[in-house]
Amino acid sequence: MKHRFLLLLPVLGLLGVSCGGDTESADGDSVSDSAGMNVNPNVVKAENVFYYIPSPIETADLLKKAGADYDKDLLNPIENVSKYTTTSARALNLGVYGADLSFTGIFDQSTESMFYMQCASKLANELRISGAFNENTKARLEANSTNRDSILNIITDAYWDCDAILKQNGQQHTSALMIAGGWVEGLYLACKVTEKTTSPEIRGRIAEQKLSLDNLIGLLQSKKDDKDVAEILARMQELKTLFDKLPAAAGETSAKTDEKSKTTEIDAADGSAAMSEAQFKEILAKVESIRNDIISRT
Amino acid sequence: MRKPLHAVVLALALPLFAANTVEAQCSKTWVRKKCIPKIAPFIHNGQMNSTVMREGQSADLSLTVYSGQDYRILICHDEVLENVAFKLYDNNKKVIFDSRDHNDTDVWDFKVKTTMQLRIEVEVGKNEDTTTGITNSGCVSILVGFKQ
Repeated sequence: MKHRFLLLLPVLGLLGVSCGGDTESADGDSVSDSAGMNVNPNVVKAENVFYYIPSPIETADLLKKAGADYDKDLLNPIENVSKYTTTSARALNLGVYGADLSFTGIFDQSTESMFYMQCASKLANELRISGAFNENTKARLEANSTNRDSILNIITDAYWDCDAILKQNGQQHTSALMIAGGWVEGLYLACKVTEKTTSPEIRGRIAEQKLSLDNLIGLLQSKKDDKDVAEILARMQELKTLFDKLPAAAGETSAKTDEKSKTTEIDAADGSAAMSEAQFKEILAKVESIRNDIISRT
Repeated sequence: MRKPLHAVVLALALPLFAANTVEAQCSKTWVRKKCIPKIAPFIHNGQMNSTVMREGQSADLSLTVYSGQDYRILICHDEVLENVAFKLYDNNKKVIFDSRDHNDTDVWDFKVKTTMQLRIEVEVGKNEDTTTGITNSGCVSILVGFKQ
């Protein structure tokens, strides 16, 4: 939708008019004003709809803070990288390797980071995303191998380059596949780690992915005219049926603002997410199935 | 007769040129140079959420924020858009932050105590001072960063 909107701009410019009228969301459906919102009459509602999916770095960071341990055997083997020959397999697994790279980076595994960087670099090149995960990225990683903050910034920058280049080239569906691959790998790692540790904190983080799954589904729905995206979307909807069995999200919110530090603290009632052992096992089995389908593609 | 024709062609071409220039300003290079540095010391999420917007339009971004995490929200926009504001809504459509209440700031930090779903709404208001009738367009980028 964003791309269509951009294409329309020259036409609008030629017509020299400012159009109001009907608006569309990213998936092409009409957007209606939400009841209870203060609607500014001078503003047409959401021509552009975006979905923020937690980056692999953010997911790995949440896992580490929740007490997860590093286990390299959980990662997609580096030798798989040469199997991926289709655009969809490459895009999905660029996301997977990006998540694995983030996992190694967060846990200070600099040698493993270089291996996964090379996997991501190979797939990025094959997807013709020149400029992302390139020689400069490798050199920066090597030069900063003992500085975790720098490593995380370098990985995030490279991941952002991939996404930005794909979007700039009109390959939003490839970007969506990459993001989906990264999100699935992050959830897979979280599930496998907690399978061994039964950490309630990590399980809580897994339950919270119910919310970001909704955002991911929103993103995929906006690109579902692509058959590969539609296929992944269907798998995500299978997963959503399991997450929907978990308790509802946070209740009424409260906000406290400190003008001096330009910070607002936000809180909510009944925000704890929880799931039973049976629910966890159902989600684990589904995530494992989706992830194994992704990494075994060719 | 030729002179008016040239004038017509020029009049038709100028808006096209202007639109393409605006689009070029929303490039990866523009966002990287103008926006990414402002999110530091927070780590951005690796996604480029940018588009060309015209006065009177809006954009939404849905996001999940996690308990115990600190976030920075930055609305980075072309200077030609003078009236850009953002609001943060919770899942019950309650406004929990409005940049207009904070000197039209384009950046704010959030400490999250409870994991929740939020929506950022960015509005590009019409410039009330304009007398030319021209509706400005420019790049708007929504960035969210988290603190490690």
